[in-house]
Amino acid sequence: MATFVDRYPEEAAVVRATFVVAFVSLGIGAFFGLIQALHRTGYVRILDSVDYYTILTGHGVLLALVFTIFFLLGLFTWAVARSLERPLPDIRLTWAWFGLTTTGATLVAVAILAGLIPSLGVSADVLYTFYAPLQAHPLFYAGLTMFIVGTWMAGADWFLAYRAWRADNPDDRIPLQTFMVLTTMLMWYLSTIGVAVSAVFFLLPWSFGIVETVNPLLTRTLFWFFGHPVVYFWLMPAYLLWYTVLPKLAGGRLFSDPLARVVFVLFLLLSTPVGIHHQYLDPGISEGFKFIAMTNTMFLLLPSLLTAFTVVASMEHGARQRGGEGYFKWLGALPWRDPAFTGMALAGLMFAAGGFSGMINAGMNINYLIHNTLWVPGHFHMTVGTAVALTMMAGSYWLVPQLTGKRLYSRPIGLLQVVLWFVGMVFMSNAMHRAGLAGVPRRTAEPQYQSFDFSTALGSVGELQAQIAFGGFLLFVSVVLFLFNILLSSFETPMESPVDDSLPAPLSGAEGSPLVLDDLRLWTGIAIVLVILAYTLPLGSIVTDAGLFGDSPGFPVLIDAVAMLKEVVA
Amino acid sequence: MKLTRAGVLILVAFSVPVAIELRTVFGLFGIDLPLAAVGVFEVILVAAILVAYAITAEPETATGP
Amino acid sequence: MEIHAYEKFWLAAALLLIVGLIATVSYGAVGAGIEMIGDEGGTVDPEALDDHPKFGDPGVYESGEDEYDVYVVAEQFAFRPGTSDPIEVPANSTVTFHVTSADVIHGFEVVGTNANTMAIPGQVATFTVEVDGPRDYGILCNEYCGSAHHAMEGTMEVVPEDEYDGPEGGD
Ligand code: HEM
Ligand SMILES: [Cu+2]
Ligand SMILES: [Cu+2]
Repeated sequence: MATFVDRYPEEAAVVRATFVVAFVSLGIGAFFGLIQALHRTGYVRILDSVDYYTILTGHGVLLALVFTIFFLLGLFTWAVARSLERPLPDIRLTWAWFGLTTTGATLVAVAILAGLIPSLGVSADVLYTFYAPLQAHPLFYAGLTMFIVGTWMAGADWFLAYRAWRADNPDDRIPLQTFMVLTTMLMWYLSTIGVAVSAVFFLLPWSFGIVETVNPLLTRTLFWFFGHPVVYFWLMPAYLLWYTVLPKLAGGRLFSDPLARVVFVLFLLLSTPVGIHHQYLDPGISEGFKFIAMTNTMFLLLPSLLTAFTVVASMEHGARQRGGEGYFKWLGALPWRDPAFTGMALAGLMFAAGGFSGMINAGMNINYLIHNTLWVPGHFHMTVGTAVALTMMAGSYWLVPQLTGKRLYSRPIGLLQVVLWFVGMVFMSNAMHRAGLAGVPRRTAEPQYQSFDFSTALGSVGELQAQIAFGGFLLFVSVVLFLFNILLSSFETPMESPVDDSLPAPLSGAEGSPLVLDDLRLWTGIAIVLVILAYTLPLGSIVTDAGLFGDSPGFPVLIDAVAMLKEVVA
Repeated sequence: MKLTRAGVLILVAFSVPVAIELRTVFGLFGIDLPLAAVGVFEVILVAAILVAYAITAEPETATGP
Repeated sequence: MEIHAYEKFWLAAALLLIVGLIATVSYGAVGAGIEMIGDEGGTVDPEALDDHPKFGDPGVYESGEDEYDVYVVAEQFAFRPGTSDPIEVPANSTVTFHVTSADVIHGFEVVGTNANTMAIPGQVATFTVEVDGPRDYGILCNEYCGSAHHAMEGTMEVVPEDEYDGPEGGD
């Protein structure tokens, strides 16, 4: 039968719903991004600087948590149904997790945006890292918890589908896309324990006033227990597309199925015991633990380096299938006119550059120079902000037609959109890296100070600000083009096969690979042991230092902020 | 090798980071280029790409899928 | 399982890179003696900083010949000392910073240098720097700490040895 929507109409409806939530957040988040880029650099300040932090919290939460994860929920639902070749076991469960995640996300968004209307008395200007003892309204923590529980239910849905499939196919290898979904979810279950404990046992009771104090270092460490693996939770949908869809778009097929499995297993094992690398500059955690986290982090480069190989090799294979020749000339034979292909290829390229700046972050001593400077947003707008976000947008050009049975409104506009994102990001992120080296801080409404100036190695601060503002503007235009293209596509007339949705089998299939690769219990067990090894001692010493509940009372973000500001400025 | 219009767009996109990082390269040798140099260099790159397109291009309809 | 020759080569190169990176960082930490923030600073009660022997009267303390301890309290939205009075130390001395917070998490960054730490309530961040010639440095808070975070700044003045009129703390 024709395409995904014809084969699995009920699943397609859920995927469409998750994508709508994802794209709405993308639109709002990108608008906030533009406001930030113009405000920080001093070009246009439509808001009071106090409200900058409301916008910034919204930007971080809507893009890094809502957009990426809702896209993931849809993509994984699509991948499980199509690769197992069967509908999900019970569509009511599927709608239930959609309802719960959406309600949770909406509550969080309401708690944040209410900060713009002071008379409501609700505020959650705590940024997406919500470090205590800054205290948000309980709605924020409650919504967050609902959202996480919803993702757990989604994982259960996919595991149930797998179990049903396994009963009918006792001897088959797990289909590759399902394998990717299941390993990613196992990693997610393991790592979300950190935020769940932090929110449910500490922050929520404390925001309601049931307990008086928190231990700020403990909740911070629990956040990063989750905060690094979440990076891979963003990245795995992109990897799924790079491994299983990009080779096909390039005109070829995946190089090696077993190697793809190895990569996903490595992520399951290594993603969580590294979170302390975000805390190199935190007092109260000894250097030894930081050193262990650093070593693990470096090994976590391995699966990404392997991915780089597979992606390039598969693209070259595709190009040669299309008649490409020579050492570099084959590049010209790739389907550059296809926005889905070009977007993913540009995203992969940007990821390579982001990888280099990441290696610098991971080195403990260099980290001292750039910690909490603009370098860091410069880095992650290349990784999550481009490698992930651009792959998701590009992938949508190929996926959405399968979900609606309607063709894409305009391929040339799509192409322009992905190229515009790439160019915009080059400007913004390059300038952010440089400004970071000069010491310009991140998360700051007005990084212009009274008692000193920043000095840059090359060029001037003014020039860097112009690049940030210009890049941010291009990025915003790109998002607008994307949303319009998708919106207009929904008015096209339905057709038989709006896009070629077949995925050819890999060059070397799973058959020859060791069976142990598919042993999910074994890998989960090892992952748990690694986490226990990396975290027991640091958490233990943090708790013995200041107690489980510490001695920091709450500092609600709503305390008459404006009056305080006047006092400071005066 | 024939250059399509899509190919030109991609090459122009690639030329942007190359032009921006030109300054870093010169910086390593102790030469501080002004911003204008980057602009001029970018214009030269774009011109080169367009010339290559004009020379190699075939009618758009005749090129592949 | 079939592994392509290029794949093996790439795998080996990747592992080499990783080991190389770990070696560089280890050398920086052990060989070159680049100091990191650890847990040597100990803990304090953030609610009772006023009763603390040093944080109760934060500032510069002389701890030996050409050696100084600087106690800094970060609080919404100022550094004590740093914001209303600059931190003043003599040139060519060894300065150990002890930084803590009286309320929420803050950052303490001496602009353009790698003297950079988090200030977490209840914890004391300790690190030592060698200061050379006379110069003024900016200090800023690089962790969001509330609505006037962007106004949280200060200065550190490294003055010529002969102009230095003694530590102002601990009187
Ligand atoms: C229209 C495109 C975008 C623009 C103009 C933009 C701009 C910015 C700017 C200027 C900042 C720095 C703010 C500061 O530290 O003061 C920032 C932070 C951030 N951006 Fe974006 N961004 C865009 C897209 C994205 C995307 C697609 C993602 C992720 C999927 C993303 C995730 C983040 C995150 C997580 C932060 C850090 C928030 C925090 O520090 O709490 N951004 N963005
Ligand atoms: Cu990380
Ligand atoms: Cu601050």
